[in-house]
Amino acid sequence: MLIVLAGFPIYWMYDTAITPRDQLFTGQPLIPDVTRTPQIFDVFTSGVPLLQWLANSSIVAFCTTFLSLLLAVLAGYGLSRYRFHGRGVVGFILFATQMLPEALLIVPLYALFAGLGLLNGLVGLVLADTAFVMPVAVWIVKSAMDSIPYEIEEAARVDGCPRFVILLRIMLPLSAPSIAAAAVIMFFDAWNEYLFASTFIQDRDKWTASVGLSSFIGEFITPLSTVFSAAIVFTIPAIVFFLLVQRHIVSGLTAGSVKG
Amino acid sequence: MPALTFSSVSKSFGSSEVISDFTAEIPDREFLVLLGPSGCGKSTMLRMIAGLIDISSGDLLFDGRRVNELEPRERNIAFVFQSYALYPHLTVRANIAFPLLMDRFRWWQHIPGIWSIERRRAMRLPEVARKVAEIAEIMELTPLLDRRPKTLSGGQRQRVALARALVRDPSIYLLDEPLSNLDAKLRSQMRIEISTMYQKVGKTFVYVTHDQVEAMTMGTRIVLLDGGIIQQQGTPTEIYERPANAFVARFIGSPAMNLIPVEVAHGGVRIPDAGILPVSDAPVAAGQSVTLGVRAEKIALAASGETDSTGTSRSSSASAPRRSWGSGSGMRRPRRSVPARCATSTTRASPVRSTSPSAIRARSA
Ligand SMILES: Nc1ncnc2c1ncn2[C@@H]1O[C@H](COP(=O)(O)OP(=O)(O)OP(=O)(O)O)[C@@H](O)[C@H]1O
Ligand SMILES: [Mg+2]
Repeated sequence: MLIVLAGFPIYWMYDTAITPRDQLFTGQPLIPDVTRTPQIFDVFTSGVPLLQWLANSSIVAFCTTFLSLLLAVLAGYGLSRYRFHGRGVVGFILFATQMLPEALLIVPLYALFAGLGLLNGLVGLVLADTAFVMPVAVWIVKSAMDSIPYEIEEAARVDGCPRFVILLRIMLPLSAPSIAAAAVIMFFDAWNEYLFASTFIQDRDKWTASVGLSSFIGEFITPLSTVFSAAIVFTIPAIVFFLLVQRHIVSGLTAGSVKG
Repeated sequence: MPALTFSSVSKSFGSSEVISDFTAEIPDREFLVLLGPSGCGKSTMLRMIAGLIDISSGDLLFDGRRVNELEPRERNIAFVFQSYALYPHLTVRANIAFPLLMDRFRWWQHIPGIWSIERRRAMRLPEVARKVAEIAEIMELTPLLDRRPKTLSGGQRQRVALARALVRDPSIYLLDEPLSNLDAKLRSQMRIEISTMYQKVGKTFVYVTHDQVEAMTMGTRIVLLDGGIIQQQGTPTEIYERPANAFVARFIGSPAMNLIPVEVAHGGVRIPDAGILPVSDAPVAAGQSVTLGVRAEKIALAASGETDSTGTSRSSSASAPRRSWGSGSGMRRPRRSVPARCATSTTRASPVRSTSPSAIRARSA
């Protein structure tokens, strides 16, 4: 049931993409005609800089993922292992940021970026996306590190391992599955992000794919086949990224370290 | 090879005091056993010696040098964790070699790529390879060297943990119940292995256990803890023969020492329903209630009417000077060669411990 629910949009996207335009409004065939391929190449030749948009999206998604994971590993380790005053408060604030809707943040961020000259550029977008998605990553990494027994770290300290090496060589590999999962979430969030991208970026060739895609929906005509073909192209890099990371998402890495 | 000095070492977690006023002087090259029931603070004590947790108050000295603030690696110790704490993502070989690699660690190895290269190079160093092979041989781990901890049994993991700690050349060895998960045969074998190791390296060992057989056979010195308070410290023989109080008497020895509530009478103690057991020169006034402790192996059957028993005891409470109960002359020794004693302690909690060898022959009632 869930698979059907989750799978239907994908099916519909594919079905729409391969159906000729005149058929779409007169009744789309439920069983896709598999002999037709999506008009993917039309999309590239239709005069829109789709490749440029995809590249922009990739840059933003990769940078956001990298930056938020870097911060999340450091912050997650600190939150998990160091007892300091206000630890609970920091944890709460992390959650609190997730309660604010994106739309609410956008006005102050816009003002801030306007002041810093970060508008209409990918750097600003990466920063905004990172700020928005990072708390989730921090939380995931912190939980993962919480579940690593203290004794492993203590053993490393006795063996003369400096703090940073403990983080890099022990904590990081042991929380790799969660970090990979967090990476997927970060990447997809940044890849799909629309509101920041559409507000901060004005130039057409700096658009991300999500903005570009929605620009197909014109005031008068909406070339559905083209939109959905482009949508397929849009999902492919995300799927590729997921497949790359997915093999790291295996559980039970800490198994065998301690008793019981 | 430091001598350890503890002066009033205490540890509290929040408001609960786990170790209180631990004072002891451990000479160089001792095999110190920290013995006590579960939850008495043995692991906590060991962690403080290692520097893994802070000492709440008091001082810890290695060879007269205060080490309270030193990091674990600056203390030059080896530690076997009760829960093994192996590195799950490394092979057995890499686990054992890890301390050796860390000895060679330089700051520029922080750079990820360089670390991998260095690690591979260091693993191939003949010195490292030799040491790993040697300790793996002793611990019977040679066939397992390329496996990961996940695929090992509890006992095998414990031996890896032991090997990782012993592979280096530290000045103090700290072991937290390293044999608790082994079967009887492997346990006695490893016991001998550790004792041999101790004799060979001639360093200070601190060994935590709740197993009195391990404590008695391996230790050169025992500190018995209960509820974070030292109950008694001394050599195994001292602790066995002169328990400082009823807790020690009950905890040490199998079967446990018989503790019988008696009343001091003239010329001995009155055992309820069994008459008077002659003990000369009672340390407390007649009429007082005390506890008489007798080791089972010191009791022999005798013909009815014959009460040929003699006990000697000596008070060891701080207030009372040591005083002998008359030692028996012309008594019959029990067949076992272990010297017997009777330990007593008054109900008012002033501990009384027995001293010179003596024998008691209790009348069969
Ligand atoms: N981090 C901690 N915070 C609070 N209490 C603790 C902490 N660590 C240990 N304790 C408490 O200290 C006491 C002693 O613990 P410890 O681990 O030293 O016992 P142990 O003698 O090693 O017992 P066992 O033989 O079961 O290993 C226990 O009551 C435990 O609950
Ligand atoms: Mg313990």
